[in-house]
Amino acid sequence: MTATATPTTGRWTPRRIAVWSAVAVLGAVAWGVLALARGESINAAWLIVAALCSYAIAYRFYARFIAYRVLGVDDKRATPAERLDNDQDFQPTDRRVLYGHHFAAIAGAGPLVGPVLAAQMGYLPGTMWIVFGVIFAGAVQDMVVLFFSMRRDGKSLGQMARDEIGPVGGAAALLAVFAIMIILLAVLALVVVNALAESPWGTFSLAMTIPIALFMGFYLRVLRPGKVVETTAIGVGLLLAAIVAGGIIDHSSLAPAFTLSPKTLVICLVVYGFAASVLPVWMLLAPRDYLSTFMKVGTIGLLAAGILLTLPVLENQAVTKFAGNGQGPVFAGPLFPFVFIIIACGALSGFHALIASGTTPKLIQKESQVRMIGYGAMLTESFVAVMAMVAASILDQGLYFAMNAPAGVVGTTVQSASEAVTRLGFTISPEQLQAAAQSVEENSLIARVGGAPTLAVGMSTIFSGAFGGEALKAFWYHFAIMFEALFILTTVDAGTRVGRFMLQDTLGNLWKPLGRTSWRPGVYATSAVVVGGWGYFLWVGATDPLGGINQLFPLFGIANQLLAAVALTVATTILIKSGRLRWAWVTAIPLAWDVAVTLTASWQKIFSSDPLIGFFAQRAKFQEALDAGKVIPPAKSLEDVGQIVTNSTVDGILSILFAVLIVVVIADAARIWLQVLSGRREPTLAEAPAEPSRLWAPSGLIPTAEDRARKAELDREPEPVGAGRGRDGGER
Amino acid sequence: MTPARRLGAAAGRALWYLREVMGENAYEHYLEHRCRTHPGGPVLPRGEFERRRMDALDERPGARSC
Repeated sequence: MTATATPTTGRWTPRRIAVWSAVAVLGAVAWGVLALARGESINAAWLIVAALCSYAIAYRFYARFIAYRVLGVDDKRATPAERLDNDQDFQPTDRRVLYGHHFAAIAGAGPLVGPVLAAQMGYLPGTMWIVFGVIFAGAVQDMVVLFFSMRRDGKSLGQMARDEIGPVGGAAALLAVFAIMIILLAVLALVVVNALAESPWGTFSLAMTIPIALFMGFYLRVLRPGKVVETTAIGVGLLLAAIVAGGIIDHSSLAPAFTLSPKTLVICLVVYGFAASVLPVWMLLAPRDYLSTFMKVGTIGLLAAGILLTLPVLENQAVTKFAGNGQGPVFAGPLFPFVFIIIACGALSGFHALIASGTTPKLIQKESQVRMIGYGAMLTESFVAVMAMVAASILDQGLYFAMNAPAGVVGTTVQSASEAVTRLGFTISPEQLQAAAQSVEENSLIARVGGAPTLAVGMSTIFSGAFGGEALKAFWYHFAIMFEALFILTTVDAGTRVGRFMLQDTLGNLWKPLGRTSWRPGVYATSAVVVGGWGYFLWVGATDPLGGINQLFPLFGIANQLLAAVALTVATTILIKSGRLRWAWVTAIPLAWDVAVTLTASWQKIFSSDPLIGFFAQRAKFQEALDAGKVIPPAKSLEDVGQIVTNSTVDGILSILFAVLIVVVIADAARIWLQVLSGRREPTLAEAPAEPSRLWAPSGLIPTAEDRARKAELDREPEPVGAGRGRDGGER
Repeated sequence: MTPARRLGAAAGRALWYLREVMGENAYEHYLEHRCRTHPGGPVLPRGEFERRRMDALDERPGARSC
């Protein structure tokens, strides 16, 4: 129906064939080394090479196939940015710049945290899922949703679900988006709480980001309007000074003032989140966003450079025994489905569908650029996840488990942790644990769950190996903690605000004033509801006797994968409705996999009789103890037992809600598929009408011969009114 | 091109990229857009433009993902 000619790719010269064959062979060898090596140490370089070669082949062949054959990108057709250019939300943006924006918007703490937790099963299962998951599911979802939203003038995922599936599917999708937002914010905030608890250095540096942001906001608003790069440079300088100053505070009499318990930190975060949601953006949110974007890209670049310079050896096993027996202390449950739930971001992340349908499609210059921006940016995020896996896997396994098992398992002293690690089948002496904590100038590294501290130890090992040696190890550790906390908090700020807008939008339909963003009581009330939502789960997570990450992270993964199922369902529906049934497998296969994973995980979380996995089995076990007035570990008091009962009930009900939502969306979509396939409904396309494009821009990073031929053709046509955004306007 | 020139050009491109991604060039794009759509029409001074651009974010915050 939308058959467009695949551009001529040039001839397959012997040199090109040789290059791609070499990439394929190198990738295959690297995977072979990773998979077959047993009991010998493997260099991290093999992981990196295997990932990069796989990405190159996927981008060159599979992404190209999807773009030209399945989607039918057409560069002769004007994009919404060209047609509706208003210099605000719609404006044609240079593909490289847009790639940067899109990457900064999709990548956050997720790809850094998930792989660290999944490392308990060894580096191989997680890495394989990250690489093959992104190639066949995650990057496909991002690109396809970006394309379909672009063809519909930048409609959101919720709107597309309503238009293409129906009101029921649309409402379920909206509810899913809101629920995942709350859980996401709570889990990410919990990572920050776990990283900063009882750590005066980290707490001080992070607290300093608030005055730094306020200063930047004032500077940008009043002193030097629009000078973003300069302001950010000053901010980054102050930030590094704050990290250094944190080291001084750590040894001073001020240290107790910044040594906060998890509960105090939760209250601080909730108050902060509320303030950030109601204050004007220029004061706090925008400057923090500049800082965090800059630090995010800078640190990821630094990590890549550090890994390539030091080429560390992996201490982790390829596959640990926890992959098979499901008894791992970091998160319970077997390899399938839980690795695929724990690693969401980096392999397949439904949340990206919200970014890919919204801002980015309104800025894209040429249709064919969906490949570089949608598929390419997601491959980059996947690579970040692979690097996080490397950082977690170069740690001694004894240290890894002492840090990542909940306090209920490893206790609070180096002796109890050492014994617990031995029981798990690994070794680390109390002295080694003490030395590890001292080398990064922390009081203790035991049960520092949540991924961030583990990643920070891994990163500080890599960084100090590459730049600065042992002397800087503590600095790099706190640098890494700060960088993660900074952009998690930016997600929390922005997420609270977005959640508030969604709530105002929905409630505005019921009672008009609530929808007005200028009506302060409405703003305060809706902000309080959103903050209260994630604040509740954050509090529960921070005080949970069973360990909050252990309980909540699987729920976060399920919610994220649920959203991916919604996005892939919408995409499959559009493919079928537009008469492209023979290509529907491109999104239907990842959808089927994702549904299998999510529903299996939900099933086990709801019905498993193992109290470590099933929420209701857990509830029954502790309810029985409560009735008998017995205190069973890891609870320390009857109050703890009661708390576990409440938490497992709430978590169990949420699991049911998520599973029901996914079934509703898919059942509603299947109805449409059947109608189209049985011929009862004519295939239709709800696309914006096509208009010819007068704008030229290359489709990929480097202009190809085909791009240049198209430019020559456009130049011959009369009065070109392009709106390219080249550096010197040269790309018209 | 001499190596020094080449290095200078690369630094210039990097700076351009940084300014574009951070949004520092928004005002120039605005002037360009006004010039194209309303040649000779009035334009906002930079301070006012930047304030409005920032305040517009109050109404539609950019989502940050995980």
